[in-house]
Amino acid sequence: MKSNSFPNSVNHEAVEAAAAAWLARQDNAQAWRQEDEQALEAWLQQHTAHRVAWLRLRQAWQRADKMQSLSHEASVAAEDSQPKPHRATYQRRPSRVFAGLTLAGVVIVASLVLWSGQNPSGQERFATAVGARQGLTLADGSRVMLNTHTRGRAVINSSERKFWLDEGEAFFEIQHDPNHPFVVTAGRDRITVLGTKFSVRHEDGRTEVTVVEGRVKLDRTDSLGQEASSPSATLTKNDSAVSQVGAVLVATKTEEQTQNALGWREGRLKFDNMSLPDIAAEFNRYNRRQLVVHGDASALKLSGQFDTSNVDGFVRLIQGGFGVAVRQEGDQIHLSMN
Amino acid sequence: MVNEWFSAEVLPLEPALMRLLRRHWRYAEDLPDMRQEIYVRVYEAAARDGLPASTPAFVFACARNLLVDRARRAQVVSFETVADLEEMPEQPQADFTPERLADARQELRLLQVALDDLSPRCREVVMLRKIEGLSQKEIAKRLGIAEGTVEKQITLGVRALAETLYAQGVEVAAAWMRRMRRGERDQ
Repeated sequence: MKSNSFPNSVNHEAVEAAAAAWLARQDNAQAWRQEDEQALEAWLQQHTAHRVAWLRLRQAWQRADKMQSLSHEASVAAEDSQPKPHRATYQRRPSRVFAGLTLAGVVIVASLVLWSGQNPSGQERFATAVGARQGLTLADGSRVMLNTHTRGRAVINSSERKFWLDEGEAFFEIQHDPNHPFVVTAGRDRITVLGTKFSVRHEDGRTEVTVVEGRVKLDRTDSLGQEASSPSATLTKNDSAVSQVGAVLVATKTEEQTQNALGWREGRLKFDNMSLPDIAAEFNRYNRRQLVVHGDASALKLSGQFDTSNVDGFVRLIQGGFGVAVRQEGDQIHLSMN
Repeated sequence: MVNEWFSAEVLPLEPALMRLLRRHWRYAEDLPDMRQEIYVRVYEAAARDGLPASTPAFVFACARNLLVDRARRAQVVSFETVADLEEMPEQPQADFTPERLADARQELRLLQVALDDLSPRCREVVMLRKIEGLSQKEIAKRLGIAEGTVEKQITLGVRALAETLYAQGVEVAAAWMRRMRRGERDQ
């Protein structure tokens, strides 16, 4: 494209068309050269109308970078609404926006509430199916989001606030109440807070706690669920603790790592330089079809983000971009190096 | 310096500015030219005299002057226009404020509406570029089209996104919310 193809006129239509053409050209970074930069600078100098049109469009184009998280749009909308425990709280709308786009991966994630209701002990029970997630508002106004394949119970009344995470993962936004600590029990691990945001993942006797805001106390109870036998750990913002066979390991993460770990709330898996087996394990939590990694493919490390349900998109990407061979066998997808 | 100020403080006023112009100028087809002229005046004044103490008051004054100029120059100006302009306050009203979407989710709704308004081909290109982060070259390869075509679609996409993001601002977000609610009822 020749720079003299851009008109000098200050007619807004022509100026805007020219500014958009410059931006589109600039956006093709690989083809953008020093002389292009000079030509653009000359065009901007020509008239302030050029500059303001270019600034205006550039800002809009940059704002569109936020679309990376567009696919979680529907889930945040669902958080707005009040919980409806007896029906699917959230169903991703297969927006026509995504038609034809394979990798952004839009699959309907139906959040089925398998069973819910109060039993005589005043416990409320919650559960989600594989691939589902559900937002709840508890009686004290605290909010809980349950991830895939999760079971929990809650007792919330004027004298106590308790939640048992029997299996799976949940994110908590706890209403502040200094007189009534909120206690989450996950196996023998006990998390006590006054008012804060954090997530808990509990699987096979292993408990992982990630703190987004505020302060939480983590300790272990004895086999009867009684008082702690070991000293407690205090976790603050961006701390992540793993409690396993009686040992607690605390690490401080970056803001980004914390947010990545919580990408599931928007139905996204975010991984940064994660090994293929770890990524496969993550996908497998959300999907009936399971990824199986073989041999050298285990050494592969990847960064990226995907819809939790978009196994196919992920597989296509590593097949095309990383030379991974794919073999489908029933509900198993085998991955190995070519 | 002026560039940053213009992007951070003047552009967020655009929805308010367009509301003002619409209220006081009945010929919709003139509005984009008027907007551009106001921006030029604002930018040049700031580059020459330094940044104003209050950006909204400054932009509002420029808009007011332009409206008065135009009304005087115009061959035919309706009685209401003149009356309106005479009544127009010297200082910006309470709603002449930068439009910042309250949070990321509103911004995303707005972006989704903007995307919905693109032609299918343009939308596909913009999404591959912005959501998947493919380069223009990669998009051309993926879609089996010429690189020039990708660039052309991005040219169109840039303008269409700007129209929705600025001109309609929060009103679009409200329309989207209504749509969501309707959709929920229909389920």
